[in-house]
Amino acid sequence: MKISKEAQYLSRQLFDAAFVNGCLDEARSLKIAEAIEQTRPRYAFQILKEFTRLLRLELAKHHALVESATPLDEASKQAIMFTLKQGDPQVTFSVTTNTSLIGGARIQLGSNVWDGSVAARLEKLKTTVLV
Amino acid sequence: MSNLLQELEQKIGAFRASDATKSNVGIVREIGDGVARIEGLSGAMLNEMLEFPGGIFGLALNLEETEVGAIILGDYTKITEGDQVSTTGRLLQVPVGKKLLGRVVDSLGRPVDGKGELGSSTFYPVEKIAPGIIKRQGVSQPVQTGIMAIDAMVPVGRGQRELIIGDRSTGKTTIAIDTIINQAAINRAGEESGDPNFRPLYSIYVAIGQRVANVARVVSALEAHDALKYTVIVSSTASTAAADQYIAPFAGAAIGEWFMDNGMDALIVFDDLSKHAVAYRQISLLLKRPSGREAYPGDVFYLHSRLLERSARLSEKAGNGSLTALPIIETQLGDVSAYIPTNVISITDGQIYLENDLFYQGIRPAISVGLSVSRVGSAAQIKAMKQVAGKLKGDLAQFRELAAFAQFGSDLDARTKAQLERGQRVVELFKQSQHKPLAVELQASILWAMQKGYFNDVPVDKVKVYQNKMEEYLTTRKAPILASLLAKKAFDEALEKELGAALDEFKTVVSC
Ligand SMILES: Nc1ncnc2c1ncn2[C@@H]1O[C@H](COP(=O)(O)OP(=O)(O)O)[C@@H](O)[C@H]1O
Ligand SMILES: [Mg+2]
Repeated sequence: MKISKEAQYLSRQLFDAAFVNGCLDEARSLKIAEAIEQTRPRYAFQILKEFTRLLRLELAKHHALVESATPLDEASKQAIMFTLKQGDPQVTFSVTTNTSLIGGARIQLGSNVWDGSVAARLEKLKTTVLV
Repeated sequence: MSNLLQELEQKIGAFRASDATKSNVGIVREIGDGVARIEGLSGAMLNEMLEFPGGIFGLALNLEETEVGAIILGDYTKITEGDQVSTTGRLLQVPVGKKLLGRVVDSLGRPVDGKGELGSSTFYPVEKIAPGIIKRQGVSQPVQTGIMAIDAMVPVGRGQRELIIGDRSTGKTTIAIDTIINQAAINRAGEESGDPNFRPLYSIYVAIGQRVANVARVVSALEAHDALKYTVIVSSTASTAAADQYIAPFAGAAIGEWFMDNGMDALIVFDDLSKHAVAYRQISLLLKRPSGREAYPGDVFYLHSRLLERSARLSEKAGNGSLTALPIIETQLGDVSAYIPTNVISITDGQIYLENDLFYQGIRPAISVGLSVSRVGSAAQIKAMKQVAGKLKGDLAQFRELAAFAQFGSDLDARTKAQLERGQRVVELFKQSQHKPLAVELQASILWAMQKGYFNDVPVDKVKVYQNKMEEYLTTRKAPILASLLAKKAFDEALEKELGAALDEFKTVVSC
C-alpha cells in the first residue's frame, strides 16, 4: 500500500502511545482507533490501516503459533509454554493440529520459526540428497 | 552399491542429529519489476540470500523496521503476494576457478553457453571487502594492450584501473576486446617458450545491459582469435532483469579475485558501468530509496568505488597476484561532466578518452591524446617504450592544437611546418585496425624508426602502407632483432646499430 510520509509518522506515534509499561495495551489501542475514526484527521483511512498493521505485527511478535501433526498432550504444551516464557514473559500461544506436517511440530513466534516437523526434514533431505 | 548405502546411512544419521531448524520468515506484501517488499524477516541481514517458494532466491537490500526490500534473482513472475520467504544465513556466491575459462556464465555463475556443467567446486562471495593497504603494492608490471597508441602514450599496469570512456560506437568495446586478444597471443607465446617465470594474464569480460547480438559478436571475435580459452564471459544482457545487471560486475570481480588471490594475474572489463548505474537506479527507485542528482541514489558513487577498489596488485607476501580493471563508460555527446562519468573518472587511475570526431575522421582507435591519461601506468612501461615514446604524448597533443590553428593560415614558418609534418606521420602510425594487436617489441621498433627519421621522406598517405611493410619485413626477416629487443626490454647501442642496419636494408628493398 502506498502511504504518505505524514500518515506513516502519525501512525507510528499513535502506535507508540498504545503502550503501557512496554506492553501493548488493548483498551488504549481501541481508544486510539476510535479517536481516529471520530476526529477524522487527514489520511484517516491510511493512518488507521497502518496503525492496525503495526498492531498486528506487534501482536504476532508475542503470540506463538504452535502446530503439531497430532494433538499435543498437556505435558508437552506446558514444556513449550515454559520455554517460550523464558524468552518473552508476555508471550501467549495457540495450538492447532496440522496433519500436513506428517510428524513433529512447528512453532512460529513473530518472524522466527522453529521447525521440527517431518515435512520440513523431508524438504531438507530433498535438497541435501538430490543436489 | 555398498558405498551408496553407507553414504545414505550417514546422511540419515546427520538428519537425526540435526534438531529442529531455526529460521526467520516473512510474507511477500508487494511484488513487481523484480523487487519484493516483505513483511517480517526481522532477522534478515544485509545482502543475505532469501529463499522464495519454488527455489527462487532474492537478495535483502533494504532492512526496515517492519519490512525488508529484496531484489529477486531469476523469474519473479512466479512469486505472488502472500508467499512465504525465509532467510538462508548465506551470502550470494558464484563459482570461481580455472574451470570457468572459455565459458559464458550469467550473473549467478550458471553456464549459458550450452557446454554443460562448470564442475567448479570453489565459490566466492559476490560482495567482498577490497584488499587493504598492507596487502597491496604499487603497479610495476605492464599490461600490453597491443594497441600502439595506448601502450606508447597511456600505458596500463597490472593492478591498475583504467577507464575507457566515449560516446556510443566510438570503439570502446573494441579496445577492450583487442586487449583480451593480445593477452591470448602473449599467453600462447609464453606457454610455448616454457619460461617458468612467465605470468599469463587471464581475462574476464562482463557484459552489463548489452544487446545479445553484441555479446555474441564479442564471443565470436574471441573465438576467432583463439582467445576464448583464456577468458571468462559474464553476460547479463539488456533482456535480463535489473537485479541481474546489478549483480553481474560484482560476480565478475569475484571470479577475477580468485585469480588474484591465487597468485595469478587477471584483467576484468566492465562493459559498461553507465548501464550498471541505470540498473542500480531502477532497483533503488523500486525499493523507494531517496534519489539525488539525475535521479541516481546517493550511494551510486560507493557502488562503483567498492567495485573498482577490488582490483589491486597484491604484495609478494600476499601472493603477488593482480586484478586489472578496464571499466567502460558511455557518454552522451561527449559530456564527461555528467554524474556517473565524473564519479568513475575520480575513482580510476586514468582514462582513455575516445572522441567521436576523430572516429569519423578515420583516426581509429579514436583516442584523444590531450584528454587521456594514465596516472600510474608509466611505472610499468618497459624501458624500450619509454626511450621511444617518452615525449610523444606531449608532441602529439601540441600537434593537434597546431593543426587546428594551421587551418587558418597558409604562410607557416619552416619549424611549424616540420612539426606539422611529423605530427601527421605519427597520427598515421597510431591508426590501427581492430583485432590486430601489435607485439610490444614491434611497436617499439616502429616508433624507433619514426624517431630516427625513417618515415620522413614517406608521403603522409603512404605511411600506413610503409609501416605495414616494415612490420612484415621485421617479423619475417629480422625476427632475431625483435627477439633480443623483447629479451633486453631496452635499446642499447648494439641493438640500435642492428636495427638501424635492418631498416636501411629495408629502405633499399621496399619503395613506397
Ligand atoms: N580500430 C578500429 N578500426 C576500424 N573499425 C573500428 C575500430 N574500432 C572500432 N571499430 C568499429 O566501430 C564500431 C563501433 O565499435 P564498438 O567497439 O562496438 O563501439 P562502442 O563499444 O564504443 O559502442 C564497430 O563496428 C567496430 O567494428
Ligand atoms: Mg560497446
